[in-house]
Amino acid sequence: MAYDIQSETFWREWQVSDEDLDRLLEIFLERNAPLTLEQMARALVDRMVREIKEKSGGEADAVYDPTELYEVGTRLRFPRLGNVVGTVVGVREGHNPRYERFSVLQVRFHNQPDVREFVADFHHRHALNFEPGAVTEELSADRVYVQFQDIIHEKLEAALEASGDFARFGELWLPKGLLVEINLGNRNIAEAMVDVMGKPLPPEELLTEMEVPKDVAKPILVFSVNYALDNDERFLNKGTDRKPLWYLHRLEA
Amino acid sequence: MSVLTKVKPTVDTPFHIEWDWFRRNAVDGELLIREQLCAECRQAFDEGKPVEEVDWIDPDTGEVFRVDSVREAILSHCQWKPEYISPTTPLVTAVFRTLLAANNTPLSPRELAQRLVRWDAQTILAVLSRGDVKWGIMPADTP
Repeated sequence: MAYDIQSETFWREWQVSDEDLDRLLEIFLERNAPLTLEQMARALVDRMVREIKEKSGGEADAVYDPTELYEVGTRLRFPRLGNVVGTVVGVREGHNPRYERFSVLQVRFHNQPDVREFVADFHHRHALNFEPGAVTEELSADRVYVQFQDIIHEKLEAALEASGDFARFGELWLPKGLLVEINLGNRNIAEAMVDVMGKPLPPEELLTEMEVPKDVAKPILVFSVNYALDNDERFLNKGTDRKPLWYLHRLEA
Repeated sequence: MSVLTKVKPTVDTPFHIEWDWFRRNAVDGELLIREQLCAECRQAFDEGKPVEEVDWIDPDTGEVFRVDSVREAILSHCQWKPEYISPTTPLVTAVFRTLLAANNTPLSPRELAQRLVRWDAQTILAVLSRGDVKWGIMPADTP
């Protein structure tokens, strides 16, 4: 049994929750920069997968397959036991005259006092309800993201827009709480600079004359300028969203 | 499980076979288990197949349990025979056999009814909880 997060049904039914938005905020605080939808979605899936793995006992070296034999120390994930992870602490010879030789793994699980045993190197498929090929690979955030990115992007974008708590400029997003206020005085400075230079200017150049906090990361300052000027009707972006060049409507002949 | 549930089982109270009950009541549990074997397995043991500890493999999880070979025969072979639980099997026998086939994993009357089909949960509960304990089948948390 795979994780819910590996199924299309999970993502079709997924609603971006307040918990997900909190996760995103933490991601922004860690990265300290505006992010694209793709970067947010990847980081969010990565965090969800990490949380699932932490809950089930951490990273595994492999997914348990009864036909395989594992060395002592191998960390195995058991899909049929709610995906818990256990460590092989011993291997012994199995005994059942019904079958040819097989091995038995002794596995210790986190928070379980007793060692449990599992069949290994066992080649009597008919005696197990494990379908060939049903054994899944270890849960991977990358694979989950690649498989479901379209639906994740679509739902995430809709939720960010609906929340009203995120600023967007071009492909980039930033929580409004992390924006640096580019006040009227700074926007007037920007207007004067463009006036004097008589040509469109990039936000990095406009920032050289603005009075903004010095301890804020540059990508956030640049995004804040772009977001502010994009919402000021005097300004016109003559560049692209990725490389904006700010000009003035009234200078357009 | 609430105190009330302990006092009075419900259709959701898990039951299991309490092996110590057989010792306390001087009933030969091993003989009773042998009587649940299919004809083929019973003959094999009667003809000298050794009763020894073997590894039974849970087909759903791959987990291994050390059980004696009589129980293992029921788990791996007899339970899959149509006559193991037939339309004429009495209710207590059917419940006992179902629990044996589940490696004595506790099952509630509701779960037993889903497996046995012939009886509803209330009927199973009534039979298991009325009068004396039958074949050691009792609520799983009974001390």
